[in-house]
Amino acid sequence: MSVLWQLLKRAWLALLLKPRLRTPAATQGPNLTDVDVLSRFLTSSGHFARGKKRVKGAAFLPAADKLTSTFHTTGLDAEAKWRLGDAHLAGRHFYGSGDVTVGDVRAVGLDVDPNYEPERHVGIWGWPNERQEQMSLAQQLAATATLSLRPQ
Amino acid sequence: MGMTLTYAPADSGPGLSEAAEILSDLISHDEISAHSDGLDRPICDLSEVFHEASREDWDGYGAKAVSHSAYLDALAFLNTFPTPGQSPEPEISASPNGEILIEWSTGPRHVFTLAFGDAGEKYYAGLFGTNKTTGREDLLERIVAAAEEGLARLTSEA
Repeated sequence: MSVLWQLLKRAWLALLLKPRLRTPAATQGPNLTDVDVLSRFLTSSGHFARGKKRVKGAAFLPAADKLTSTFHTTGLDAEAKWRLGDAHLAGRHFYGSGDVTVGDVRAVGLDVDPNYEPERHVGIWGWPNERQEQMSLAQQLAATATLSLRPQ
Repeated sequence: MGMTLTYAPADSGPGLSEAAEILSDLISHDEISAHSDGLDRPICDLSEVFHEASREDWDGYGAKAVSHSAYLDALAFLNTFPTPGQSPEPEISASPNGEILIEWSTGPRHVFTLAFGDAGEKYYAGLFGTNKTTGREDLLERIVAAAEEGLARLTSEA
């Protein structure tokens, strides 16, 4: 009887926790449409190819929390975008940004969480567990990205 | 003008796999310097990437440090892989999960990428126009074979 009770309890806990593990925290920011622009600030010179004017998939790969941090930059001019990067990267040097649209993100099967924590922050989520599948989605997303380099 | 890079692992000891320890013995500092002096570009780039990404949060987004063993696995691959004459030069970078990435590209939608993780795991993903391929291998010779196939497809479909 106690074994059955333990199994039931475990199944109930799994059901209770599963949605929390798969979806991000409640959205605080505005609803974004497919034409909204998301910028990933490029802090590593290895994440873009200057000569080929290409953003690499590595720039969009998620960290261990399976979230890729980007910022909502629709309507911002270049200077405002770089100021946003400076503010959120705590003075860390960055080379520019890889810009994609929300539609690009959704087209590869990922989704966005415009949590605006911090200001204008949007997480890209929905990454699969398998690393090679994450790499494939990141390649597809990078193929749609525009490289925007900051004047040095 | 020759460029000299020094081999300076960020950590050593407990995190090293047995294979990485053997490689570490086989690959001396002098050998890496010799590669650098000989302008073996991918190996120079690998050393620079490892230097940049061998500490926690190297990207400002909370990235995991690239491990000594991931570096040695990638180095072993570069020393083994017979890069075909017509193929583009590989580009080296690090991932937020602490992997070393080796990538070839002939256009935005023609990319083949390998990832070397800290526990000996090796992944690959290829994008060839609208076609895709992915896989995982644990043995060096298998990832070499996968890279040869991916690169052949990349250059033939470009």
